[in-house]
Amino acid sequence: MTTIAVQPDQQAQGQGGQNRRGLTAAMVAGLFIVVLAAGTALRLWKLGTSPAWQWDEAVYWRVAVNVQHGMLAEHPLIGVSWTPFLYQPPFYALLLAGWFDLTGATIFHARVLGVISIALVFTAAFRLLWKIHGPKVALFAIIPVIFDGWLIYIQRVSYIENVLLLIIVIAFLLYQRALERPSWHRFALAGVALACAAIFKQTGAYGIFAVLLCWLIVRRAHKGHLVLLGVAVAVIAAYIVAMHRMYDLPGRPWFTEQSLVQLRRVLGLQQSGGTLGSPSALLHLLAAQYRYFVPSVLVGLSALVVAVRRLAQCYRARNWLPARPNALLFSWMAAGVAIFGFSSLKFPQYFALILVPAYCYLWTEVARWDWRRAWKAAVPVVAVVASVGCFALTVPAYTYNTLQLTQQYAQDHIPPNAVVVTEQSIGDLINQPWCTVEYPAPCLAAASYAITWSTYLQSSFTQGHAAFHQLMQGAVAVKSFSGPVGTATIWKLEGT
Amino acid sequence: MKRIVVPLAVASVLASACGHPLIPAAELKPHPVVTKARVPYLSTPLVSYTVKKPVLGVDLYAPQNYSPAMTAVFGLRTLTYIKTVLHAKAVGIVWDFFSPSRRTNVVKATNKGTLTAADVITLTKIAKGLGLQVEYRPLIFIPSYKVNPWEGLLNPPNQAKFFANYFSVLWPYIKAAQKLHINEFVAQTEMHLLNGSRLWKSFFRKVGKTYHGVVSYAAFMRDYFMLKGHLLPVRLYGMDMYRALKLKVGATQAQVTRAWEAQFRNVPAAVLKRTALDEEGIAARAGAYLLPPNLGHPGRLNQLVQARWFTAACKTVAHYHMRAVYFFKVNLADNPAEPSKALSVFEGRKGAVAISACAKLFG
Repeated sequence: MTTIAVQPDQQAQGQGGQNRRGLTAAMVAGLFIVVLAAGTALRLWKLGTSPAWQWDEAVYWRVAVNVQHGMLAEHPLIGVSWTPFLYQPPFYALLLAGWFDLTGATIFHARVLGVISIALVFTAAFRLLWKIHGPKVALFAIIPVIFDGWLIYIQRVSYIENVLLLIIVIAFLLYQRALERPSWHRFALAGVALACAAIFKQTGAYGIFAVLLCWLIVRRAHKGHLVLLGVAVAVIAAYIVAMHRMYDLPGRPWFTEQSLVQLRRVLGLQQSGGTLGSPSALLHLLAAQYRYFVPSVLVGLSALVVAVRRLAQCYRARNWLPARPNALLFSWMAAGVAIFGFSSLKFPQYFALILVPAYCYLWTEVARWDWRRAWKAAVPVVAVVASVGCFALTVPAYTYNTLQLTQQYAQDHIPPNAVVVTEQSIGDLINQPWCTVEYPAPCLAAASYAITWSTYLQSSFTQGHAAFHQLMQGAVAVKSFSGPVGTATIWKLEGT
Repeated sequence: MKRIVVPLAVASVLASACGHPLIPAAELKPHPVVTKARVPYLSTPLVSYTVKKPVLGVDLYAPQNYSPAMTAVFGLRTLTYIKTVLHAKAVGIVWDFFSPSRRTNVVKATNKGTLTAADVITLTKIAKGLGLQVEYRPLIFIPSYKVNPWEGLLNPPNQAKFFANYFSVLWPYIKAAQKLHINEFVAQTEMHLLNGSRLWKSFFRKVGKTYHGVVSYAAFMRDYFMLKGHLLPVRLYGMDMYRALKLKVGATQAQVTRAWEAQFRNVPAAVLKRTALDEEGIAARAGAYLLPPNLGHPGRLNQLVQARWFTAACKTVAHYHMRAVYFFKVNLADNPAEPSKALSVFEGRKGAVAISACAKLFG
């Protein structure tokens, strides 16, 4: 465990990042800061108006606001016993609530926290690339990642994944440090960080699978890896024990039930609205709602092709040597593709967890190719120009804020005591008492309004309970807001 | 590893020692029993229904078969009592079928135990002559299980065969129901283990093809209240209410009523207004609040227990605008002028007064 192991590319670059062609490490760092500032500025540009509020943002916003008031819950439902919000671990809600205490409780402020997290993600990712491939390759690779159109778009939304990604990148940074200078406590620390990712959001567990794959490829520091896995398992177990004791009350096992719901959704045993169910649905979305991100798709597919090519080389060689120089990034990307590919949940924000490692892998591979310097520079430049150009188109295209307009309408035109039947996110945005379309029974006699939501992937009318359809008989649409994210329609009910 | 695992274990214990952060204090208290009642979910859309005045009904139960002449004599006596003394507006005619065991597809009528369709027709004609609305409600007994012959534990190995058998024994009664235009056919009672069967839909439809009135069923209370239970696909619902209430013998009328109403608090109003209490009974016995279904349980006579329970049932029905309540029971062979001393009986007791007072409440 004391052997110093340095990756081949790092040896080529020389210790300490010295560059013989004139760019010093300090200059590279300075250039990175400029690039990062530009990337962050792009993410902050018109952040309050574009993109329109996304589905999950409203939920996280409401939970965080309630946490500020001492309650870990969404907007309580009529006729349903109070339940805490534990579908996701509570850490993001706690973080967001703390942030709201400092700045103010709006979705805009939540987005600012996301952008700060992403700036830190890129800083950590840059450091990781630097450690693996040296400063010049790190700068070469990080620029197209920072300026990728899809990432700029999706990272402007206040998703949990923004912070999750930061924890994952820090975990890999610690893991890489442990690989370079193996010691049990470095591996243990990396294990703690990876476990933190898994308990920050369950999907973060894919980082552990990435490390397992990386271990398979590098085939060294076995004891260190065992320590890492042991510590990760211990931290996750401690979290589960603590959560079970805190949030599983007799007869009300909130934590266990909601965690199992998430597990069932991932395994496809339970349906969830708004997920991609088929390749044709993905193609449709790419051709319509997400047509601006074709450059990102092409870059992502290129990364996949490069990775598959590398996998084929490994197969021909009957060993992992061809993948070893870029083992961590390859493993990270492969774990992301495999885990999220097989998962039944395919939300747009999850792609960031695959695309960041995919882009890092692609551009670090490109940097090592034996191409003329001009070609090597031209490819990422084209990608950046195309991506940023397309992103610029999304800003005006995605400003129609359906959910915000719906919230405003409910505030202005629906009486505060009127009972509303609607979907989760809209229910969290409004202040009226409410029931869900999936379980409208408690509101059957009292509901006077319904707010339906429909997108290409989901509709209140397909997800609503049979009683909801009964409720909607004779309903009159009084207002409709239709934007690129979806269509919200406010209905006045006839009454049962 | 110990240096890591031990601090983690300590950390998790300390974390959980914080109690239950971010949970409102009110939610940490154990829920009272009444709030555990969950709302059943609907398996079919609700059909529009206009609330009417609740109907006061009494179950007329035939525990065995009688000759046509005896049926007519007994029927005239008991139905007159139901109409003129109890002031009921409806009668539920209840009789027994039998299954040899819980795991059988057989359901049959017996000469000795099952009131014939002809006798049911006789009773119906008398009831109609007295101006009573009529409901039919067959029961199934499993006599081989003497301790608990309840139909709720019927679990036939071949449901299709069971439903076919059940329909065939019901058939003459269904025809009679249509011929006499009775008000409601309660096609099954408390078939708890069969509540999840998909065959009920086709069964009810089959009954409805012959009998064009209201086809319903009497749900077992747990299937009606519980989260995981559900209501079968019928237009109007029914249920048998025998839930134990933690009330002292001397509980006031207000306390009993409050406890009753709390049972239905979580049921959606749209379901409540479509629900009838098809069977509602309790013994006039001290402590019966804790064991309402055990009508034959020995104990000390306490008429107030029965009377307050009945009054609470009426007030609950009125409060939630439910369809009807049927009090269980007047036996077909009973002589209300000389009622039995059994604790299950309400004739000649304050329970009967409470039922007749219900008529005023319903208007």
